[in-house]
Parts: sequence; C-alpha cells; structure tokens
Amino acid sequence: MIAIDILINGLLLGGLYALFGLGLSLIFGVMKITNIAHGEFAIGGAYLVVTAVLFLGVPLWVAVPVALLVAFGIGFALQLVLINRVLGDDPMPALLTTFGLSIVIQNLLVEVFGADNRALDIGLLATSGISVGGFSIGVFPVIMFTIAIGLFACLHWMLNRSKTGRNVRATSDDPEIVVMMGVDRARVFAMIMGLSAALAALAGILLAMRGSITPFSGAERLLIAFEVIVIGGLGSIWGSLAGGLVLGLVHVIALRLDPSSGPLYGHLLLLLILLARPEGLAGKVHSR
Amino acid sequence: MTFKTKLNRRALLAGTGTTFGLLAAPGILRAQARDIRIGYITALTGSRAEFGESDPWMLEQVKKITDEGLTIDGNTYSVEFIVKDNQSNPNRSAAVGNELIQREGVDLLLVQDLDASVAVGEMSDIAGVPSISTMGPWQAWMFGRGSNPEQGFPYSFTFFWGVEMAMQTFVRLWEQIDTNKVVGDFYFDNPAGQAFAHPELGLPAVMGNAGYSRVDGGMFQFDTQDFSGQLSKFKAANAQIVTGFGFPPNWATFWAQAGQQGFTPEAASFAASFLFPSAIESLGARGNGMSTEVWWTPNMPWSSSLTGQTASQMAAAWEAHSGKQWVQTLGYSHALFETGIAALKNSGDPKNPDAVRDAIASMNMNTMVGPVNWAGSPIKNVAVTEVAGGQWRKTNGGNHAYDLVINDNSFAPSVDVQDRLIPLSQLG
Repeated sequence: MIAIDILINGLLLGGLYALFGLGLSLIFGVMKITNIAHGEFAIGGAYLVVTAVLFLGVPLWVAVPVALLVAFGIGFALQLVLINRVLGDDPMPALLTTFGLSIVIQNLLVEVFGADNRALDIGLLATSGISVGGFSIGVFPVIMFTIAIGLFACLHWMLNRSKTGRNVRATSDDPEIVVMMGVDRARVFAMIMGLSAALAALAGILLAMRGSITPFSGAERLLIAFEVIVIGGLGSIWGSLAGGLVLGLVHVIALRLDPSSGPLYGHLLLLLILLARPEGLAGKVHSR
Repeated sequence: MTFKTKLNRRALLAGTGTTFGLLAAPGILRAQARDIRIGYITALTGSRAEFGESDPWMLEQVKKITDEGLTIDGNTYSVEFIVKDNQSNPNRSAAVGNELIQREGVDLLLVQDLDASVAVGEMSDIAGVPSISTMGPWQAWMFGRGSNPEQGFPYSFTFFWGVEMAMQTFVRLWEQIDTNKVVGDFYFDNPAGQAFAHPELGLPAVMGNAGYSRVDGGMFQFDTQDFSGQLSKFKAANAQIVTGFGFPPNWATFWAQAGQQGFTPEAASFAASFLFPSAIESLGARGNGMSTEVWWTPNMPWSSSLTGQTASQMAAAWEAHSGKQWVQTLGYSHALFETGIAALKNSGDPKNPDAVRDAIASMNMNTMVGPVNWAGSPIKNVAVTEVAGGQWRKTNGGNHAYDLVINDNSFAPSVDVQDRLIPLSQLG
C-alpha cells in the first residue's frame, strides 16, 4: 500500500527531474560542454510566461508555446554569437561563459521582476486529483509525467530517424569530420542549444505551475539536472529519463523515511554512481 | 579557481584585535569631522530579498530629512548612509560588517536582517561600534550568540517580537474555530525553524499545553520538492490544522500537493510563509484564508518620529511609489532608521560610541511599529515589540487581491481585531 504510493509519487516527481536533465544531456551529448546557465534558462523561460500572463494578459495556452519559441530563439542566438566562439578543445572557456550567463540572467530577472515569488495559476488543474484503487493521484503530475515521456520519445525519434538527427549524431561523433561533409557545425550547435533552452523553459514553466519560483530558483534546478545526467549517463537521452526517475524515487523514499534528509540521499546516490559506475546507468564507456 | 574564506569567531577575534590598534588612530582624526557615517546592512538580493525590497525607497525618505544635517547639542553634523547588501548570506554579512567597521569607520550600524544581525552583532561588540538590528525574533539573535536576558551585550541592540508570542497567537487563532484539535506540523531546517520546532520551548510544547495533539511531520531541507510523506501522515491522522515554519516556495509545493491528495485542513498557519501579499497571490485562489503572524499593518495607530507620517500614510506613499501592496517590513525598516537617528540625537556626542550606546540603552520612544523600549526592558539589549495574528482574505475587487484581516491582538494591543478566523472550508 505505502510502497505503491511511494512508487507513484516518486516516478511522477522523477518525470519533472528528467525533463530538467534532458536539455542538459542533449548539450553534453553533442557539444561535450555543460551549460551552467541551464537552471536560469528554465527559470527565465517561466518568467517569459509570467510576463505574458500576469502583465500582458495573454492566455496561458498561447503564452506557453510562444515562450518556448522565444526560448528556442534565445538559445539559438546565444550559441551563434557567444558560445560558438569559445568552443574548443578546452571545455573551460565555455563553462565560464555559461557561468557568467547564469549570473547575468539571474540578476536581470531580479532587476526586472524583483525577488517576489511567482507562480502560474492553472486553476483547478493544480489541485485536482483522481482516485485510482484507493490512491489519490494528482492530475497535473500525471500530465507532467506524460509530457516528459512524450518529449523523450520525440527526441529519440528525431535523433534516430530524421535527417537533422543524423547531422546531430554525426556532429556529436566527430565535429571535425562533419564539416567536410558539408554540415554547418555552428548551426547544428545553435539548434541544439535552442532545443535545450526550449526544453529547459518548459521544465521551468511546469515548475512554476506546480509550485512557485523566484529568480534564485535556477541554481537548485541546475543541481538536479546535473545529478540526473550523471546518474543516467552523460550524453545518453534515455539514460537521463532513467536518471530522473531513479532520482525522484530516491528523494521520495528518503523523505518518507527521514523527512529532514532533504536532497542528501540523492547526493549520496550520485556519489555511489560515480564510485561504482562513473559512466552512469546507461552511459557508454569512454576511452578518451 | 576560487578561494573560500571562512570567518569563524576565533579568526574574527584575532583579526579584529590586530586591526583595532590601527583603528584607534584614524578615530581621533574622525572625531574632529562633523559628519556621521551610518552603516546600513540589508538583504537586497538572495532568498530574503523581499524583506529588503522597500529599503531603497525607505532610505530615500529618510535622506530627505538627514540631508539637511542633524543638529545635536548645537553642532550640525552631516549624515552619510553606507548601504551594504548581505545577499541573504551569513558569510557575506560578516564580510560587509567588517568592511563597514574597519574601512568605512561607521559611527552606527543599522542591521535589517536576522543572519546579518547575528554576525554583525558580534563585530559591533568587539569593535565597540553601537548597532541596532531588527527583523528576527530576539531569541534567535540572543541565544544564537550565546548570551541570555540577564547578561546582554555591550554594544549590540535589537527590537522585535519573540517566537513564543507568535506561537501563542497561532493557538489563539485556532481557538476561534471548531476543529478536532489535531495539528500536523513540519518545519524548515534552519535556526528559526529549529526555534519553532523546539520540543520544550517551541510550537510542539505550546500546542501540547493548549490541548492540541500533534502529528509530527519532521524537519525538511531547502529545495524539498515533495511533501507526500507529510501529507499522507496528516491525512491518516485527520489533522484539521497545519502549522510549522518555512518559506513561500515550500508552502506552495505542499499546498498544491495537499489539493491533489485531497487533504483539506480548516486552518493553515505556516510561520514566515504568508508575510507578503505576493506569496499569497502566487497561490492563486487557494491563497484565500491562510493565517499568519502579523508584525505591522497600516491600521496601527502609530506615526513616524522622523516624518510625522501615520502608518497608513506611509503605506499609501509606498503603494503610490511602487505600484505594489503594502508590506509588513515597511514599519520595521522605518522604525530602524527612527531608533538609529534618535540614538544619535540623544547621545549629545554622536561621534562617541559609548555615548551613542548609552542613548540606545536608555531609549523609550514611540516609532512606526509602536513603543520601542530598551530602558524598561527586562531582557537586556532587547526591546520587545508587538505581534498580532491575521488571515488573508480575498477581496471583491479593489486595489489588492487579498487583504490581511486581524483576528487576534493578545500580543498587539494597539491593533484592533477586525474579525474572527474563518475556517478554510467556509471560504471555499
């Protein structure tokens, strides 16, 4: 009884975690860099919707797709004009650039929106639950979970079946050679960054619908995203889903047994994975 | 690469000891100048930025008065404020405190943040620079620094209410409605949360004495994303009241999950979460009926000793300036400037730290938050102020989405009770 309750809550929470990890995983898989500003991309995306809904009066269902497109555009542009310039054999300049971006975005958000808590009101959906076999399950977490699984499937299809996906995989395999084959590497990178920013924004929007956010919420989400992709396996799309679900489960189980443990057991899991299986649950062993 | 500097008490004592000799020399030079330097520490950014949000505006209002200079004992002094943002961070608080004392050579420190008041209070005592702080229950400020009501501190002072007053106010709120007297509680794991959760002095004891049975939801850490554990416990025990301590994001997560899982208490009094209207509004329609401790409201019968504005006039001025609803921190941040400037004036010699210290210790004045009385306080260095209990109610249109309605004034005789607490089931 309790075990099933924990399992349901853990998996539903894990779906959101996985979504935070997905964009980061994509970037790492293709560009071999980590985007420290990923959390700020997520929160910034949520603030785009907050602006549209609370200040401009745009309906939520219009604001969300528009915000995702804008996030894609911003990610795309940032990669083209900024991050592509610092990419190279040394991952440090890109790391520092995104670190700087994260600080700039966070402070911009504080400057524009203040430090208030903001949430996106989805009305009854936020609190409605359905009863299945004696368990109350939130409708919204189920929707979030479905969205997460759906996006993983879409991304999987895109990477493995479409021409764009082939370019992306080729670029990931050898960024030097693809250029000779006529692939515009800079554009592939920009597209991936745009996609990652849109995915992050979606996760942030869902977070703001689920609870509330402040401009400072980004850093914590980045940590979750990191843990998801390391546990799942760096650069592996399905690994990120597994990582998210496992992390969600571990958090819920740990909080049930020891409410004051917080994210401790998630961090311990990360440590354990790094010690026992550094390539992650689904990762390939890299030899270089 | 980053270098982490950690400031502990021992290092601080050593550091301050060595620099103290150096400080004495410029001190003589400074004494000749007719200008007063006031260090102001507040949280403008970080997790408590909402507490400092009105500060830049408040400072502008105060500067309008002090820019003309202060005439004390026939001498006119110019006044300069040096504002430092502690970024809601204890380590940064210590760093900016040090900067203000050592480099800026301030004559008085005003501290508007609990973390900062603990760190800077220590420095103020060691360096012999008087300080006044607020915005944190005095127990956390005093016991957190290893002192007690008989002993006090040499140079640091605070004014605020005590945790026991807020807790008893909660119980008095619940007495106003019919419940099964079963309370579910859970607390954020920080010094203030620990004070609220203390088994002998905190809410568990206060609730026990008042005949409430408790469903223990434990302590939770920052960034907890899931409260389904607490919820299933509260639901199983049929708790009709939820209480504890935590910040708005924590409550938002808990409250949404409560809705999903069908947990519908009659009262929700979660300390520190419902102070600001923005936090209530971010809950959407489900923010209606949240009950809270109330430090200050525009309905208080007090006025400023600096500007002569009444509480409601000041709130209106803030709303006109910011376009936002009044916030409780307005009163305290204004009173902090009031007490600081009064201390300088009463000292006779604002450049003499001991004279300023004595002026604070013997102060008993009416401020924007009511009487601040160090002179007659049984707790050394602490002036205890009022705290009431209230409930956020949805308005029928108007300027604000929610109004704060006062339900209990046992510890705030200066505010009038407006209505009884309404059970959440009747608010819908």
